[in-house]
Amino acid sequence: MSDFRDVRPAPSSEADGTQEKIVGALAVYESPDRLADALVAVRQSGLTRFDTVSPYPLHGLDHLLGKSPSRLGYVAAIAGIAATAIAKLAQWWTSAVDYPLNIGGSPLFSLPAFVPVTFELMVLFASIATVVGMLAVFNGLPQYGSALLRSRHMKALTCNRYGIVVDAKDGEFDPHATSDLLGGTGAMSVELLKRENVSRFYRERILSVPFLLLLVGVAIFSSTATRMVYRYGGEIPPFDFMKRQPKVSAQQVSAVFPDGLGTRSGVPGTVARGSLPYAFAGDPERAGQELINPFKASHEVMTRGRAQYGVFCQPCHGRLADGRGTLTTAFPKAPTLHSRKAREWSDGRIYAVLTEGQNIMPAYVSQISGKDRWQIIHYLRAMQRSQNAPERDLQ
Amino acid sequence: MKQVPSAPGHDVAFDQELLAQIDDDIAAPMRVPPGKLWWAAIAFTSSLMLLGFALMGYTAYRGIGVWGNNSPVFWAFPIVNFVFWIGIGHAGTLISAILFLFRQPWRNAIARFAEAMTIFAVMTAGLFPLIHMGRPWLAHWVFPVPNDMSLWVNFRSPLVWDVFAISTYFTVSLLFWYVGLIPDLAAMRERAVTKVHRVVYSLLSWGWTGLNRHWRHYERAYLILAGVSTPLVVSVHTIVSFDFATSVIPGWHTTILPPYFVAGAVFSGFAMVMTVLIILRRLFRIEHLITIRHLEYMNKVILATGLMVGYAYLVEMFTAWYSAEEPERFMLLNRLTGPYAWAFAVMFTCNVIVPQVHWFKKARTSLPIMFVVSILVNVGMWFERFVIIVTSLHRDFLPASWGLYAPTLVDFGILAGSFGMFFTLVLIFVRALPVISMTEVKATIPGSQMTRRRHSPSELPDVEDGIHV
Amino acid sequence: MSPIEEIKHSLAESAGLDRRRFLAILSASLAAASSGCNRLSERGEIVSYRVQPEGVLPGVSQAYASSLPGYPHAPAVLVFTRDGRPIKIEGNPDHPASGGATDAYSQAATLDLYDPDRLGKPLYKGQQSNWKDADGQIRAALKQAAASRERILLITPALVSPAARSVVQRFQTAWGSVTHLTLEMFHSGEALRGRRMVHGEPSTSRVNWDKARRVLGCECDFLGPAGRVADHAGFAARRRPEDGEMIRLWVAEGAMTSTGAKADHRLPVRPSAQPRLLLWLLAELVRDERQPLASNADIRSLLTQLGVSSEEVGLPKDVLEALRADLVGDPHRSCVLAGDQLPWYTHSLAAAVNSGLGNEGTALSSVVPSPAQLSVPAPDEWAATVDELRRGQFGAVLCMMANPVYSLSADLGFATALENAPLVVSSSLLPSETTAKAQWILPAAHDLESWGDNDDHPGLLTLQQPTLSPLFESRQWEQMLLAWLPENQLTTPDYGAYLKSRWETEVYPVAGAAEDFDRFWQAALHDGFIKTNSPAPPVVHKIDPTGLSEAVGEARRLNSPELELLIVPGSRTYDGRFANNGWLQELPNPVTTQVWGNGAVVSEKTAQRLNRLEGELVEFSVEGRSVTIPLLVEPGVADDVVLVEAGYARKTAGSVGTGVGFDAKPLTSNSGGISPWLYTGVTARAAQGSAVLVRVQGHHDTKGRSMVQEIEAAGWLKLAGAKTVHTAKTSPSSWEYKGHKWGLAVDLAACTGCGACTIACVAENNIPVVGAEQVRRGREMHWIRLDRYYVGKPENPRVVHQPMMCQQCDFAPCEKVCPVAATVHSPEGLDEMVYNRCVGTRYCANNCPYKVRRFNFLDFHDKRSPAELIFNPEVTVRRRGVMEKCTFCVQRIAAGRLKAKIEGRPLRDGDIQTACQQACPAGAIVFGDLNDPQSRVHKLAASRRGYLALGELGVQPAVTYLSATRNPCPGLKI
Repeated sequence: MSDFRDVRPAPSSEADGTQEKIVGALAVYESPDRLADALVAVRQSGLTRFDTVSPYPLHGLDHLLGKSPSRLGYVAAIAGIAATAIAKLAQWWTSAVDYPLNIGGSPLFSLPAFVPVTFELMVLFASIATVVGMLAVFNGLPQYGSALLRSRHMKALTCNRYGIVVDAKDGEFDPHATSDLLGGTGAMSVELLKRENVSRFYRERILSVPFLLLLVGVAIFSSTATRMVYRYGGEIPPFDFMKRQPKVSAQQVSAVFPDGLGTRSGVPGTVARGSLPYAFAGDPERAGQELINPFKASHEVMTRGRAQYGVFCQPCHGRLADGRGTLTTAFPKAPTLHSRKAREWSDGRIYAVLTEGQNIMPAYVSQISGKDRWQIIHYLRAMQRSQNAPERDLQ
Repeated sequence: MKQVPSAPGHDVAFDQELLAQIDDDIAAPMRVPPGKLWWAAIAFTSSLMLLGFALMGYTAYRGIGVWGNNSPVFWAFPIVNFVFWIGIGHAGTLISAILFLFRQPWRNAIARFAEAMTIFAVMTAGLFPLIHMGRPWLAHWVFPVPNDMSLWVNFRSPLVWDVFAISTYFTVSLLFWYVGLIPDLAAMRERAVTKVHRVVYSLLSWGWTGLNRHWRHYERAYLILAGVSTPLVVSVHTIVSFDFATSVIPGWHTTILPPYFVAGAVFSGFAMVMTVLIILRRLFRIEHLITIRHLEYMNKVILATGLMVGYAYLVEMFTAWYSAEEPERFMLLNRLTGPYAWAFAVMFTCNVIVPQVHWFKKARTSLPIMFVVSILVNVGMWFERFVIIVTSLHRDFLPASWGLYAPTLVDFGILAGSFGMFFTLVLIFVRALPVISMTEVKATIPGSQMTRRRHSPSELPDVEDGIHV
Repeated sequence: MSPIEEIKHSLAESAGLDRRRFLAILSASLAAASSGCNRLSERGEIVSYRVQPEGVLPGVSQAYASSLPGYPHAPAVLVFTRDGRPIKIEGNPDHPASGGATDAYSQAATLDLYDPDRLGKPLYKGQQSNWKDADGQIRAALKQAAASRERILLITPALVSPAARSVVQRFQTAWGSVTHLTLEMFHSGEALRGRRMVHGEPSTSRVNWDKARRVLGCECDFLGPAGRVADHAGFAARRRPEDGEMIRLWVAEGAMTSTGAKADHRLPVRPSAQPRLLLWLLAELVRDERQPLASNADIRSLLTQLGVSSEEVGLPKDVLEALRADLVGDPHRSCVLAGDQLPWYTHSLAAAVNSGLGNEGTALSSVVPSPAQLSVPAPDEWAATVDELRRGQFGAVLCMMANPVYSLSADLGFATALENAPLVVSSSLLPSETTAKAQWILPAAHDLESWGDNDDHPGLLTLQQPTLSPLFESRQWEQMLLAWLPENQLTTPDYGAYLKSRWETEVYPVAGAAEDFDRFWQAALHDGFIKTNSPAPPVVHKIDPTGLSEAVGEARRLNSPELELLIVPGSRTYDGRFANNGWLQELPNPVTTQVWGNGAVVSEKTAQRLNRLEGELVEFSVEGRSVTIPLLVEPGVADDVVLVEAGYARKTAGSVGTGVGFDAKPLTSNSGGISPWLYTGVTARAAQGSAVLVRVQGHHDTKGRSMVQEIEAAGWLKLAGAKTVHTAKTSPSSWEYKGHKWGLAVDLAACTGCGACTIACVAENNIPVVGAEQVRRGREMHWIRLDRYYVGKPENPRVVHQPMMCQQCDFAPCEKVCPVAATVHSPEGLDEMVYNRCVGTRYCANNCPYKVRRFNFLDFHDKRSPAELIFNPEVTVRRRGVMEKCTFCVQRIAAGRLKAKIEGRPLRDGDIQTACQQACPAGAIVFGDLNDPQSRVHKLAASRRGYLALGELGVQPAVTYLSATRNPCPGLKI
């Protein structure tokens, strides 16, 4: 009983102005059996807000405390089911809806192949839910501020002693009476649990300026770093997604050639396939006499000619070849092609114009293939004829 | 182990000091500064680890070409190591979860350590898929995270299954292990010698005080985790085996791989636990906690799983022969007589023949023998993976594309590095955390529970939940 | 030049501002704007044409008809350029000698062009110099030589170009005493001599593949990599049983060659035994009075006394009988071919047999040899010249594109004799053994940078036009000679102009063209060749008995103790000129599958007799000359025969080719053995040490698996209606391919394993060279490889070549296992590889049953300038860590589709050709749309010979193989 006396609250404790307040009482017992006996006594005393403390689970206490087993299982079950559903949905949506791909000819929603991931996610969610539920929800941890932790018996209570702790919020609780009561249950010792104002811990540690500044600093740093990595990291080989290609693509520079141009022009005097030099350069009249249209007017020829006319000629010469093109504001007005001159020109003569251009009209030799030029001419002929049809057409 | 003077019925009789004694023994390594031996050990292992990391960096810089991998052997050492280490991990979960469900009290002594090994092994294993990539800096692409390509992963690929399996396995093992640790951390918090210890242990123990309410939910949580871990551990190595089983390559394309892999994993895992425990119990003088009896049980498991593995080998041969598929049969022939027949020989000897000594109690209970056996089993299991991967790949369908494989020094360096990493983690663990669960040991020694059953006083007001002190 | 400068530039020089110039400036300024505001990724200028050449569209390829006289058989080609840079070589489809196909050498021409080792500037005694000094000093030296009565030695390759020959002539007349010797390590000198002996005049003959039924090849590798494209095509055309009767090919050879691989009956016969075989055949022929030869009494008597019995031939009686019956059975449509490496009398006998068969005009047609062939000097000419050179009678030695120091036999002592010449000039593409000994090293222009013409193909005059103005300060050698004429005779320095004017004066008048010369000339350039009236065919039916008796005497006298060593053109390096070409070095030998080197190919029995293993060094010596070469043990080689490929062990060849392989040259002598390339009485001695010989294939038999299938012509009919194995379709994919479904058909009956497809693929798809060490480790990058299998007994196996590329499976195992979906199926059935999505797990490659996926284990590409110009701009250059594989030339598919769209028409079958298909001389590869019932590939896929490789796996390949075919004599087993 010796140590029973010296745990009484020292009368000085209120006087010295510390903000400690008594939150409960702790009785320490030396064996599980002693604890159990005491427990019965305490319950009979009418106290209701109390619990036992032990270094390891003591089986049978739930029974004495009239507690039913934990409901943690439901949490796990719900989490698991949810996970299963989420996993299946996610796999279906990603593979079959959001970005459907033909992978090895397998169906978009390959159910059997999607089972393993589903299972793993189920296990994962269930476990996490269980642990979080147990610690945070059911046990209300963390409790770094708990008065028990500051008890000088705590070490023993995590090793080889057993305790009953009574909460001061209990209606029946009174420091002296409860201490006496506990002392009477064969406790090795009884201690009144005091706790300083918990909020101070947060005020001084968490909300302190340096800590907050630290947080801000970390935030700024990490975001900047991320930005930098994304912005520049992706430009440095080999992280550049093969953007830097050693090959010399069209219109690129190349260090190999003294003038730095990767785009070379062919050697003078050489002749590429399908591009025989134009024979009548500078002599459209001779072209007019010697060149004859290799195409016969046909539906295909007309359609092709019309299409090409629409691409290359229409902007200046207009849809009806009447010189009312859409570009006439930007460029000098193109002449109508229904003029007597144009109509009397031979196909070859017109071909010459298309090939070499005349006046402001540029040469189209490198834009329109020879075939197309002839077919355009056919279409042009049709238009001319439609505009000023000879008698026999009208009958 | 000290004799416990237990006298049922007499309630003060049992030796409370024994509990303190247990705590002291287990906590000792964390409280006394490490000795020369430990420093020497960690110096060695960590330098191995650094060597490994350096070589991994070199690989990332130069390309996979610094390894022996080639066509047709596109996978080799790194994947062998990966499967090997994942396998090692399985013992931990098996001991802590499955044996727990089977209420095997002898597990308590080794569970904590085995779980720790699981985590370290999975960490080590996890490195290999990463460094094995041709462009490791894009490793995050194997996770289904929204990205600028608005492209997802291919959920049909066993490698994606791996990603989920391994990460889940690691997370769950970690949780399981940590939950088990919390009460012990609380105990350590109270026994902390330095301030650092105190702060760290307090933070980690979440202010655990051991209220009955805590214990009630805690035990249920532990049960649930054990419950989900058991199918998990089976699924993980099954999925690892799918990497091979779902392919078309002769020697890979076989349905026996999943059970065979799981058995093999447990086999190698137990062997590794064995190897390390034998050393540990000696170093930290905890022979009375991890007794010969424990080790003998483990030897029995090793023998059993060894037989399963051996059976798998034989069945594989039979099916290859029975299939009448020329490539399958040739694969079998090539394993037995081909250029890598020696690997098969090593595998078969170490995994099937050597463990047979454990039929004899003498061998099961003799430390030197079981130590040698455990090491040989690990060698054998490493070679099993080598045989499965390299021997199957190097000669598949078209004889014209057959080739040979020869590892480079870098390959060996990285293998050594993985062992360095694993043992470095183990060495730090034994100094930082209780290698044996104080709580479980204390809770299960005779007399540590109530000896008499009492009637709960009825017609009394209920005890309210959630006291807050 | 930066865009800004360019604008200034163009403004400065632009008098008027026509619209095109205006647009050019506009685009340039846009480029300037865009490159002004750049993210790092957008850095890099855009420079457009200031004046866009007509018909040139940036990024659109253009074809130029040309030819490559510097390559074997002077192939006629189309050079495809992009932005004025040669990127890809294809055959000239209009040219009879090409038909659109090419061999591997010409496919690799672009790499020679962009070889970083090329000589860039004139060098004088190792010091950089310039052309002005070079021309001046060399002309001075020539003048001095002429003044001091010293002679000038001009060494060139055999000149296929009339223009070049005329240049040489001008040079000779200008400087007086100029000795011109042409140098070819491999030529048809023996053949010409042999035929002259019996016919009185030299001639060469070609097989008429459409008419011939039976062909006996004696050590004649006409289907080898160095064979003529036309022969590959002609032969292949007669190997498809569904296209009528198959030709039957007998091959008697000591070495195992590609020709032997295609033979229906292959007889392992030592080269030295070939004359006896032919002599026996001849004797058998004349035994029948009705034979034209038999009418000639002298010949008859000669052969009755001197003909050999079948025992002396050393072949089983039934085989010989079958052979005789086969040839005599249909004499006019049977023929005998003798290989160029065989001694002259073999050719005499072969010629006699042919005229005995009376097959001229049917199975064979003889032509007058080209001037190039005739120009090859006799050995004693060389001996005399070198002797004079040693005695210092030559004031100057000009080695133009020739490498005598390497090519000539060592015992000639040319290298040492060269030191007595005051001036040695060597013009070459690359550093060579000869440039190492020359004071003046002059960079020569590559064929793709040169003008020229050639008359190598009878009845045709083929033109050569440059497709790129010289990359370096190089000139073509003809131009150098023109520049070194005495001042008073100097004409245009531009060889192009010279060529044109020569055509105007020499060719145009006789061509009888209607249009004016300019049109004629342009048309000729456009087509790449003109037809000329071919010379009168030589008289080959009559046989001169005296000549024949001499030949018979030689043939009977010939016996070979010990080993005999045969030197053949390097299948990849030819005579060494391609030693520095990485593409060719890394192209596996069609028979041994060896890369990056050669070896002494011997039979297993011979190796055992020498008691050495493959790779172990053996010293071969004859008459005191000796070489040390590692053994390469190969099935099918006749015992006691050693085959060595020439063109290796270059001492100076550039960074790639120097010191690769082993050289048999030191064994040869200028006077030659049995022939310049055949040496008997060779003794072998085990030498110390060994060498690493890299074979791509580690395994050579089929293990009885069904990826390659053969059928016999006889069995073909029985096959009627029956489905071949593995064509049975498994469960249809849940995906159906509307529109196009691309597929490939590969005809194993046609494939000769020449490897042109592989190089074409390498050139088209930017595939890197990895080097011998990496190949040894099994990391070659070829997208299409040639698997070579031996079937049957190792002494004389059958050989099947199987081109193996990505099979584009419908149920692609590779796609299913990729974690990041980096390889997926296209709507047109292509198994697409998305390089940039690939993280490099290599799982796909593991799961590929065909092992056709390639991984960039390291960064393999050559970083030296101007190697980057080799890349095809249409194809991504892959980096390390990325998987790659055959794409069915997806860029060509896109281009074809686009072209059809622009021309406003649907895609037609044949519009799209994969690079491998385009190059294949045998037409063994056909690409097309499987959904189009009219397409060739669709028909071939349905062929009764068609089967799917590893079809039993059910991966549904898009590639159909057509089984290889044999046409053996019924009942004859060899």
